[in-house]
Amino acid sequence: MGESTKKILVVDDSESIREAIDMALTGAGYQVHKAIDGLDGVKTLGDKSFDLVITDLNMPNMDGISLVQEIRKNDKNKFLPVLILTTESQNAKRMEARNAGATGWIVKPFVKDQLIGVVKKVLR
Amino acid sequence: MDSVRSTFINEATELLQELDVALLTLENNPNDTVGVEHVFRVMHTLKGNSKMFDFAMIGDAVHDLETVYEDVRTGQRAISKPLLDLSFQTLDHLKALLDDPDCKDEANKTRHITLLKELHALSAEDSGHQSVSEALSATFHIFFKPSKSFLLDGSNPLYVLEDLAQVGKVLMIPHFSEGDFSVTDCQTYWDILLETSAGLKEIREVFVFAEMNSEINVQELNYSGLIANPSFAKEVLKTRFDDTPLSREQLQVWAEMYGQQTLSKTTTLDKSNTSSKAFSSVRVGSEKLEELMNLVSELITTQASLSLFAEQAQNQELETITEIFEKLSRRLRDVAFGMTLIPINNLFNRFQRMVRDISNDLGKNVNLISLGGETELDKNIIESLSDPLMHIIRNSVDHGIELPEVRAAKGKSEEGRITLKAYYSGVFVYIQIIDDGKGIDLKSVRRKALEKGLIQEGDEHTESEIYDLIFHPGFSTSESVTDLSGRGVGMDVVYRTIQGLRGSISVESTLDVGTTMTIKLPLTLSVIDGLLVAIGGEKYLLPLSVVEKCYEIENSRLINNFNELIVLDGVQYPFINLSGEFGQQLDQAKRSQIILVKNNDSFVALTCDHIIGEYQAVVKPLGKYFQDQDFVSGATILGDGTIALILDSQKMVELYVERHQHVKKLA
Repeated sequence: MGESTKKILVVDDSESIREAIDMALTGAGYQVHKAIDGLDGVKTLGDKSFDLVITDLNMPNMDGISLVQEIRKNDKNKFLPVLILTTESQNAKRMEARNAGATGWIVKPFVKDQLIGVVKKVLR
Repeated sequence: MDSVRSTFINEATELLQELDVALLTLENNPNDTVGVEHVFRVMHTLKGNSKMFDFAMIGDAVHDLETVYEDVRTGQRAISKPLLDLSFQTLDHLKALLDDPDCKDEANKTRHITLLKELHALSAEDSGHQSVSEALSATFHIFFKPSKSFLLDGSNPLYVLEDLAQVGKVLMIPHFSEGDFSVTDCQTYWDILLETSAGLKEIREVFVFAEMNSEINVQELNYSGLIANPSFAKEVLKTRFDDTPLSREQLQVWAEMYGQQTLSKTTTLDKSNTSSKAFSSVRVGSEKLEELMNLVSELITTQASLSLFAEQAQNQELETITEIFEKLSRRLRDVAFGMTLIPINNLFNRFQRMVRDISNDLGKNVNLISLGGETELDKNIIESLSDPLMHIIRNSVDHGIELPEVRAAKGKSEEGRITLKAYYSGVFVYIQIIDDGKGIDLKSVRRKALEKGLIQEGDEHTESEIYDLIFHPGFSTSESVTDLSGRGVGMDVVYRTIQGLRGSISVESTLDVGTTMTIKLPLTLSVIDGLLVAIGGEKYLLPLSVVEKCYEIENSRLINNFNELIVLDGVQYPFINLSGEFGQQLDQAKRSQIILVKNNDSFVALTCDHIIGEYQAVVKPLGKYFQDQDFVSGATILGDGTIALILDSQKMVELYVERHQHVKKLA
């Protein structure tokens, strides 16, 4: 207690994934904000401060990699942890994401506890 | 999780529909690389999401489909008709699986197995490279030692190991560092044996996030069949939990003993992903929208009462507030109703598949073109339109469009064409279904109608009256009855459904040139802007959309007018004396208001006692006593609590003409 609620931004073009993550993380006591693609994510981030960003890779308008690059451009967000959502077949993308400045990744499909486990660690 | 599940189902349904459309586009344009990417991306999303939400069977099927399209994407396979046919079958199957995710239904199960087999067969058939690379699988020895601080930045070596397990068969030998144990330190490290068809590059990619702060060493052992060999596993596992990594020499010895030597290989697969277009939206449950509509309707009714009260109260301030309130509620109404409007494309797209399937079955060649798909209509209307439109289009494909040989003989192109067209006109939306088929044979319709006793020998009928006979219950002119259409039920149901939506349908046809069906529908069902008028002490509402102009004239010009024509602004118009029709005597000394309304392509003048003004009305349906009164389209509650009937001017004119002809006939 005493610690303020951590703010997490979830960026995914798939509503069901957004909702599932929202539900899991809200249930775990986090404050979840959602964005529907990279562009929306950048907009939502704006000048607000978040504690963590979780983003999908494959999205219209602005994909996850570009979002990470965009986030890192802002000095304020230099150390903002960014987790990317990948599928097992996207190994190549992970390298790209890391080079862009992502902190880590979560492999889809994941279960609630896995997700919360990773988030907890990153936010510790 | 249930609500997320239903979100997933909605989303998956949309994705499947998107795939349907995307594949149809591909069929017409097989070399469209952007199209292939699009298909691939949608499949990828669908696969990922199905696995997330425990729709494993959908995930599997999409995975296999994706594998096949992967080859298309890399140019190793061309888009072919058998491929598309199989794809469409799979999509249909997936739609069924959304309702029955675990294949409890035997039919679904059988189909699932058959489809997967076919997909496997297809991907094995001309992409032999897969089985080749399977044979080329090699064993790698990986040494992975995370630094002590590995856990501090939120990483977890176990995730790396899980990912590695996805790459191939693994055998993991964990070791513990000796020394003091600390909770925050990572003191475990691993020797991992991985047998995979993947290359070095893919293995290194698993470690991308771990590379920075761990010791990683990957080396290929030129032996295969090691991991599957229990004796080998037993030997290497002896070393687990020790603080000594496996030595390369020792491994080499065991590998020679238990494995088969292979040649070194390097395979790399670069998978890139491209994003494509989508539109952003928020999904709201339709019951919430309906509640919003109801509230807005109530608000408008209340606002009318408030306006009335403010007028009577003679309070300047109150009047100003009321005026602002009225403006705001009007805007709120427009925004709220805008939300229920969806583009008709949603509907049109559904028919692409149907036309393709039916025309394939019938051996016909039909191209369905849709125009004006961006035209927006109330969601409820669109839903109700689905069946009628489907029926009309089926009829067009089945009875309208001729077989390719017949078309060629007539000098038409072998490919038939059906055009779906939607456009606005006033507060109405028109939807046309135009085919270039054989047209409707008036004589045969007439003959059939005579046979069925729908008309009498010797009756005079206009062309459009004869066409309208096809909407009569039990009417069918088809010589052969197929299972698609021509069961004699349908067109009358179409007619009734469209009437139920306060719309109308008409037919035009030319023999051997084609048939056009035109459906006319109101834009929205629940609120209209109207002109409130008084006739004989009662109030009525005319939709503002039909009102052209208003005039004031002496009653003497209306009374004793035998040809029922009146000259306004130098133009002659037919008029209907509504006061008279509603049982009121016109007072010779007084004046009447004339409202000029649009009626199809011409104008008709309607009389009333006086015009009260513009009014936004919430349309309420009338009870069953009024249900056969076509000329009243509904009623609305006014601010003072009284009721005004909403008049349908077009129906009123039709009724008037009909009745007067009838009178003439009797006379």
